[in-house]
Amino acid sequence: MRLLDLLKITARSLRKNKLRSFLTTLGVIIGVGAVIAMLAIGNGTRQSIQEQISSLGTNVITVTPDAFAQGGVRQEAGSIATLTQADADALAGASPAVRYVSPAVRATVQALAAGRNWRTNVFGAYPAYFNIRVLALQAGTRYTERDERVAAKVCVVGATVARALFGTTDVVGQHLRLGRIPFLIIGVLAERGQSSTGQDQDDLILAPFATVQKRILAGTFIRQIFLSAQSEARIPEAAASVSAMLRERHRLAPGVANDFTVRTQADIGATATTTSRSLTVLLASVASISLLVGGIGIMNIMLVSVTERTREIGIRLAIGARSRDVLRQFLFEAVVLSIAGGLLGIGLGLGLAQLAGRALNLTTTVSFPSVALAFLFSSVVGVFFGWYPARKAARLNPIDALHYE
Amino acid sequence: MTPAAPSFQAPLPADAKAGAPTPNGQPKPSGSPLVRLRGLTKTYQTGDVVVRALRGIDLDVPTGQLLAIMGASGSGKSTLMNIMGCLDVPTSGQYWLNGQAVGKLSRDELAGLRNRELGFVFQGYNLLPGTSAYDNVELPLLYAGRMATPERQQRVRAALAAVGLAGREAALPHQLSGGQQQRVAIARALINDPVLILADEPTGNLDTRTSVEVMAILQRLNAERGITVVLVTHEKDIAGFADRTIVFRDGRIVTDAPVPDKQIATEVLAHLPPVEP
Repeated sequence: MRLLDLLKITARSLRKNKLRSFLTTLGVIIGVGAVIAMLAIGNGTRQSIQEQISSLGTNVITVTPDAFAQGGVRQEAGSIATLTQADADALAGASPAVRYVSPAVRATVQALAAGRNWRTNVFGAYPAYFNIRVLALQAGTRYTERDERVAAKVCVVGATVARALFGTTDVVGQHLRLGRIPFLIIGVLAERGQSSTGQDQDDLILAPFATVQKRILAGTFIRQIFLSAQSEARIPEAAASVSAMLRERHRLAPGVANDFTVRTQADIGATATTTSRSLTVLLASVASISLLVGGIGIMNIMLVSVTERTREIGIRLAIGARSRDVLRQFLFEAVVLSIAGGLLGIGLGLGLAQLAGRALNLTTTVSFPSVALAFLFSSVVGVFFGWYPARKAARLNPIDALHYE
Repeated sequence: MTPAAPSFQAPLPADAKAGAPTPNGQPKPSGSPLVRLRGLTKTYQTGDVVVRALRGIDLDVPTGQLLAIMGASGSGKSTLMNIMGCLDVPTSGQYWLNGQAVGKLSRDELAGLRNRELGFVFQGYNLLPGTSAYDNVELPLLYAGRMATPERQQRVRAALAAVGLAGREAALPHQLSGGQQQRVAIARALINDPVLILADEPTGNLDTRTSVEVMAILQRLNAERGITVVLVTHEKDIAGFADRTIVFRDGRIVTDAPVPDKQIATEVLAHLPPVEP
């Protein structure tokens, strides 16, 4: 029997039972659609997480001092001053890939104003810190290099602090006290809301590095150095040169471990990406199960169909169909159904991805490999689950099939 | 209702092969019959009950004969038809079709034999439901394979025309009367130019006039194309259109005789009262 004739017979048979054909296909349509939509949602989630991470500040590199082991007893990380302001200033010239540098210190203080008080963190950092972390102001100005040089008693407050102390964010020109030292508020940070770890990113005060270090902490160690690279692509280059320069400055012999840690935004992103990737895998496996169930649906209907069409098979055998003609016809029917289901499922998946994107406010992206995979899988489902019913049909005895009631 | 008698005068395709030795170019030993059965038995086991449907059948059917098989239900005539049609295999005994020992053939070879050498006409017509007359008749050609589409179309149309159904190609079985459905089945049976048509109570579901019409077609195929016809029937009238009648009882042939005054179906048809409008 010629392939074209076989296709013709298959098409006739499927057309004859339009509703059943459609219902058989439905399982595959939903399965393929679900796989594609789920992968699209997973990808979209991953992208949106990456966007959130880069919005924290682009191209940021942080250097933190490491726990210092003394006589085998590891001290708390940062408890020994291995990083200094001089280190930070030197890193500005570490590599042309480095754009901004700022040392940072932090103190937990009681802020007082207008008869109220609020416990918060005050960060001391260079004005460049605003550039590194991409911090915008909703009112006032940031402090300047001159403020930094003279350790001016000025600060920029977060909205949470402003509300806690004054009941409003319109606080530029007001004064507050940190401990006993009065500060002039010269700016208010634009609100950033909660961070991905649930911290209130508006509950802080920023002041010049020198001011915080000398007037509040009265110490010399620094907690962190913030840097930004010229571009995202140059982060590795910048990080490497920072590492090299610090090793040189700290006189670490080759083979001795770093006494500091350099972290880049990419490291933080990797963690989040891993999380969202496992989410994608989870969604895709749930969707794959539905595709599998769709395949079993095809087998079920095909088995029923073989029983129901026993007489038809008998007639075909009586007029000269060979076993392989019958086998191929039923196998073809299953494959055509599952491929048709695959194609319709791709359409459904694209639609679902669009809808989900709008509902969840995600940019869902349907990747070509996910479409190809789903389609390929649906064809395999057809062959796999069509085989058994087809073989059953092909092995029928002509006379029994013909007299089947 | 059914088309009137003139439709039976539609010309047969030119490849009618009355008098030809045998189709498919196989040389046939002269004098050997188309069908030769020797010592054929068939035993069924249904649970604990053993049914001996055939108890030793010896039968020769010469080429070109129109043979009627009669007998009560369960006498074994349908079982014999199924074995002659290569749909079933005997428990013992031998069957030569056209000089070929059928017992040695594989499942697929039997399918090929059914496709090319045999044509079936059943009591219940056995057309594929929901499938047009054209597609039903075309099916054996598809299974035979290797025929160009234009030639195939021509043959299907010719076969339908030969049974008086020109113009009804697109009709589905349920849109046709019983007689018309049986004629589609006959067209399907003769599409591959068989040497033998096996008709199992072909008129069992039809009224008198339609029965005679179907018999007219079978007689014409037998006479004009030399196709051997074996016919199972309950009705003495129908057996009267045959050349020879054998009667079955309890799995044995009890009577085997030529029909003394064979009826000609077209003549009988002319004397039947006209169809009521």
